[in-house]
Amino acid sequence: MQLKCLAASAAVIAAMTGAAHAADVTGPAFGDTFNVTDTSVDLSQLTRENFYDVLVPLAKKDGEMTFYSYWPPAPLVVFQNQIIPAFEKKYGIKVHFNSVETNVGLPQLDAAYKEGKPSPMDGYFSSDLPADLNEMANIRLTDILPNAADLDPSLAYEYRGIEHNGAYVPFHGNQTVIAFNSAFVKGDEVPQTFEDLLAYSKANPGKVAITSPLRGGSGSGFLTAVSHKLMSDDCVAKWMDLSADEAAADKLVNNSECFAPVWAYFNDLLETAQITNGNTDTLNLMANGVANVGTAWEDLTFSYVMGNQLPDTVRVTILNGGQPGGAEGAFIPSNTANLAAALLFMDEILAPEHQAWKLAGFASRSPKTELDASLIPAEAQKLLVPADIYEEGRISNANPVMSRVVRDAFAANVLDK
Amino acid sequence: MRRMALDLPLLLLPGVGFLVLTFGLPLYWAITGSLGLGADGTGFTLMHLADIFLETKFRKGLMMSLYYAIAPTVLTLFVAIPLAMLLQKSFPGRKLFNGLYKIPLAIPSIVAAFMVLTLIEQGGFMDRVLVHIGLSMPKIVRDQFGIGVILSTLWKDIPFMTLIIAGAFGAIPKDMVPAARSLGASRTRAFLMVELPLAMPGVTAATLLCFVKSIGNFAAPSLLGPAYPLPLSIQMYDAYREGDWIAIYSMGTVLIIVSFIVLGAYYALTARTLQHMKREG
Repeated sequence: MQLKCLAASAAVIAAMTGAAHAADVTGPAFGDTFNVTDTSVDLSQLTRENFYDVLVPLAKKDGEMTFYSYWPPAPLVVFQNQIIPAFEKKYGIKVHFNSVETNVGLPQLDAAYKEGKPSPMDGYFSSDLPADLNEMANIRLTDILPNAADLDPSLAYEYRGIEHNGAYVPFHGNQTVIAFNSAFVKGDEVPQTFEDLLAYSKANPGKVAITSPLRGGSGSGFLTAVSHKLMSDDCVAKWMDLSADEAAADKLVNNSECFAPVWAYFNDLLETAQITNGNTDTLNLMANGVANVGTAWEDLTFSYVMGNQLPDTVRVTILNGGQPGGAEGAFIPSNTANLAAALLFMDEILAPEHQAWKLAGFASRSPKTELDASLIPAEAQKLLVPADIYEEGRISNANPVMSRVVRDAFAANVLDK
Repeated sequence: MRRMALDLPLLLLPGVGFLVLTFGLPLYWAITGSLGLGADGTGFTLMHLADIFLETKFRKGLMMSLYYAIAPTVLTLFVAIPLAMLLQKSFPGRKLFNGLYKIPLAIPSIVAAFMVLTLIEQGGFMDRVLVHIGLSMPKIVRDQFGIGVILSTLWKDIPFMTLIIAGAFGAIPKDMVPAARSLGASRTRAFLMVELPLAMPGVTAATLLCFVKSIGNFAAPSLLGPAYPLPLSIQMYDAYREGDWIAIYSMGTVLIIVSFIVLGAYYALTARTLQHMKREG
């Protein structure tokens, strides 16, 4: 039900905003007027140029704010050890930090929003957007934050198929990949294409682990990648239409031949590959030496290797044709009670020194174009997707309604068989 | 008399009120939500409930939930009854055994599931031991029959059911079996015709509790079960992540209905057993 609401919101926003993202940076990101309940900041006059002059005095009046972050290890450490201490020292504003899973924090926000109360957090680094986008402050953050000037445009206005038009600030880059253990998969055996992966699986039954698209992002990402590669251009265009609703998704996925090659590929692959219950399940199979190749997230694989939970012979790559990637980010709830402090903090998380620290220390990719993987120590570089493949290999996701319909069809056409 | 009529509801109010608030209200929300009458609803409809039976992923999920509830319960019953009988006897080490078999009761389900995962997973502890003698573990984690889930549930449920059934057997007067034997009943006949019927209320209660506990099992199917079909407990969590409350209400209502049907069967069976026992004197 709420997914339909989200799709409708996304469609309306897409229609309202179109492609002209930067046409009016002082206007709302979506809707006709700003939706924030804290009116202490005149958002219509706020620009990148006057940002600090306007906000610093107001934020100091707020005096404190609350920030939530969901679980990924690297961002958690960066927030706690780097960004928050620096922010508190620079502005004298106390930040209350809580690590709260997305599926816990968003319902908290939803409940407060529906009751007309201030949100429990003033900023939230979350893996998903609220189902009702109006729960996010509709501010073009990526256009007005001074530290957002060099954001990768492909990450600045859309997240996992939802056009937020700048209200969600990308912070932590992530990428779905194919992980392989180079101790067992050598040279020519390393899959470069989807056909290579299928051939490897057939030659080594049980040695390829595919995360179920129903249970983990690396699995749904792989499904997206296969679809992107095997469907016709016309089908891909319809599939990637961000304004597609339930009816359009159903027509494309269940009442056309577009996905037939995708189901055929998976049915063939899963004759010899194992399907797993999640991202960590796949990596555990690799850690146990059961699987040599698996679908994974680049950052999670990196954390596992660094934490000695995976052999240091594990490497990652992106298959020819691309795999989905993006950047998780943070948003300000529309019912925040500390808007000025929240805006200032959003700018702080993109400060070059923090992003560089995050990149060098945790190989957590930055959405800022001026910071590339060269800052990562050489020893850690080998655990990431090689730069040339990374630049070419990132593709985006379909909208959430389309993705759900495809997942359901995957269950019916592949898993059910 | 009128005073008493007023006093009774007032005396019952704290208990009944607590039940209504903590159990009745959420149940009411779940049922009305599944009928399209909740805050997210669009008006009365039976379609959301019908979807659970019509849509393949839900229908198969319901079957999987029933499988995860029935299979371990039946298997547990076959182990727990002999074990409970054994505990009525005196044997060397009985006291130690009596203490040890209850240990799994203190282990949370999620811990039990992880124990099973690390032990029997391919490449897990057992596999690493077996490899030294040229053997390997069969695939019993993520397998299509959910063997890992069933093993994990058995490990938790056998002590639980044994504890209840042992209590029921222990409550049978000690002279009943000798009396039956003296009248010519074999050991098996005395067990089937005397002990088991007398212990039946305890056996059915234990069975019911295990069934209800297992039908909502989340940790074991999530870690050890096949990737498809997913039992309704996992699908409810997935629906929660996607904010699909109507699906949550509908799946929850169906699971409640199934549990109530089993509860009804329990009451009917218990009543019939008691009636039969009364008739037999």
